[in-house]
Amino acid sequence: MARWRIQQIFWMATALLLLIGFYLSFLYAPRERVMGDVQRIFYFHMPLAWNGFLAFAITFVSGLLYLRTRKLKYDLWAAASAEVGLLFITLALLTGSIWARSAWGTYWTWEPRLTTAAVLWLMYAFYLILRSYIENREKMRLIAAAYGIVAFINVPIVFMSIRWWRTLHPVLIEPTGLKMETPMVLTLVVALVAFTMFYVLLLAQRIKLAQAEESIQAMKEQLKEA
Amino acid sequence: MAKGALELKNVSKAIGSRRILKDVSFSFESGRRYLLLGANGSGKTTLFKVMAGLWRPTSGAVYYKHLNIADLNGAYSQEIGFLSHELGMYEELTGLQNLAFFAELYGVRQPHTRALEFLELLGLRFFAHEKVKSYSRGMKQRLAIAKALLHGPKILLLDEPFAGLDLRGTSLLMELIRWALSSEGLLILSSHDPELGWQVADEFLYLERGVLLSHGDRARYAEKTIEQRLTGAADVGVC
Amino acid sequence: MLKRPSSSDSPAQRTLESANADAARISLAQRGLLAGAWAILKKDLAYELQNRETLVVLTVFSLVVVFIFSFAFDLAEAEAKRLLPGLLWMTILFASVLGFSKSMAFERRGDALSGLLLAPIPKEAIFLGKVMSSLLFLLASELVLLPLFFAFFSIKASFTQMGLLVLVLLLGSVGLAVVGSFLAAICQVSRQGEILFSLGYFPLVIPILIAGTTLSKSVLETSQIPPGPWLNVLIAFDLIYAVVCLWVFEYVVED
Repeated sequence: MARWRIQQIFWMATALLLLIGFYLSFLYAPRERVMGDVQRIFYFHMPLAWNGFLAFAITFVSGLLYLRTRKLKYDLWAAASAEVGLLFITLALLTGSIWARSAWGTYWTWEPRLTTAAVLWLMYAFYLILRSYIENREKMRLIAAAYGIVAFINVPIVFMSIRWWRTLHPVLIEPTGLKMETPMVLTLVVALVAFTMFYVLLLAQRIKLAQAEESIQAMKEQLKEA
Repeated sequence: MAKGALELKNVSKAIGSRRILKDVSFSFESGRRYLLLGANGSGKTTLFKVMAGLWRPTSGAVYYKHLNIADLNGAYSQEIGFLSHELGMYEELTGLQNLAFFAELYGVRQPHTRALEFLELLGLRFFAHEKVKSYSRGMKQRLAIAKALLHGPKILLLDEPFAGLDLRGTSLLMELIRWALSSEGLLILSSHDPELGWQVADEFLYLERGVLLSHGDRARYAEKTIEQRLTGAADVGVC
Repeated sequence: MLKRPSSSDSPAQRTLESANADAARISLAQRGLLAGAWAILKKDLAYELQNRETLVVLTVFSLVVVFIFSFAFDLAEAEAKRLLPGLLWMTILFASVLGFSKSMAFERRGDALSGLLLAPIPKEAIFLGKVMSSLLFLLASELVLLPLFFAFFSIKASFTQMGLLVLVLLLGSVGLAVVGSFLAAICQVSRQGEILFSLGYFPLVIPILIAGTTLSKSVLETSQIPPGPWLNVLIAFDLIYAVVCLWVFEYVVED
């Protein structure tokens, strides 16, 4: 039962921290002078983007571990993390473009981080499509792990390429450097921790679900055999 | 290497959560011919793929001359000729191109000449320059047999070699099998028609739901009423 | 030999015996990476020379694209020079998708891969062979594409410009061939492989698209390789992906 207790405490702590995060970002953090209230979206955008990236890194590492050990759990981790990561990156892209509309006057700009996030979205959407399109489960796991590795090493290359590419183009809109005051930094840190915990929570739930799916599949096979 | 040329040690194979082979152990001696029997879905094809080194067993291992085939790679591939359900060749290429290509992969000297010889041998000479996709089922089977024999393998694994063959093809294959293996060669074949298999085999192995239930010579085959089991006449009974 | 039939000198037996003798001699010689890759490349080329399917398809595709682009844009030379690099690389990307789809179908019918996996060659040889043959087809189609683009958009280019452009195309095509062959091997497993391939291919090759267009543009405008890391991006992409894909390939084809 100890395990269950820990889970419960983690649930509550996450919920509490998220609430505090909301309070801090909407009410406590000072109004940004240039951008006004829109800047507050940053406290959501940045943790979402960071966790999205973290999630894909975990997919990458789990893929490596799966190829090494062939333990089913690593494949389930990889898949679950990719799903949660895709959700986070989607939200990060949405919040990012709302921010961009107000800060730079456009919903979309070929800013390196934004573009990299978009490429990430495409690659991991494909990762999930790939998983559902291959009928042979064992083969699918190997292939997904291999693709997860190949996709992840593309991330730094894409990021650097776009950064260099941008420097060659006339830069019309420069992202204004944020003058971060101490309350702002505090808010950001709390939000970051809260969202990271939220990510861990979602990941754990998704893995549990995946394990249930696998055992149902196993039972079906056993029934077929009997 | 008289004893135990090819050895299965506690071979199990699961695909997903389905266990297809369950702890199969057996020692194949060189110079003998084995007939692998079992109903559909008993794990024969899976066992062939594991023995050919195409599928790695979930647990246990296959040993060739006391070495794990997983560590042998190319050296083992060179020694086996495997005929499977899949054609394993290019349908868009001609029979000759296919055989010459695979002969080259197997390091056969003069692959082109060798390919022609084997097409001749299996009565496909006339179709050498036709694309494989235009071949009939039986012709494809003949071509696949040619590919399995082409490099002079010491171990022949033939999964349902008689499938799709006409009577001439069947007797030709019988002859080839008898000739192809030198005294130290090993043959393992499966056949849905045990009588056909017994024309070449010395010993049988009987698989049921992934378990190796029984093995032995012709007398034991009769004694254990394997044939009745296969036809479904004898329902239960312990081996 | 056991149970040898009495008519011991039939041609069938001679064939089998020579096969046996041959096998004894070379079975010790490990089939190398390059020998296997070379055999696979030769097989693809032989088929192509006989049927010319891929090249015909790619040439006609290039013609169609060039026609449509030149109608749609109706450009003066200055504008054309600005747009050409992007159009050129877009066309190459789409042409390569066509090429890989064809090659996937070719490999899948008859389940040729299982035959290749059975052969005594390293698994990497299969990958290397496919990369080399797809690279060759890609370069051949670029050879058709490039003059068409120059003619239809009436662009004049010096020898230096052409030389540099060829270098850029070569480096970019290596990366496309590597990533494309890897993805083709992955997608081939699914029945909807062709659809999957086009979904997965473009996001992976974005760095090539960016570096390739930037380099080509600079070559056409200033007839030199631009300052900055672009050539290195292409080279790094080629090398990194060659190593990683070669490494994970054996897992992809494993059953």
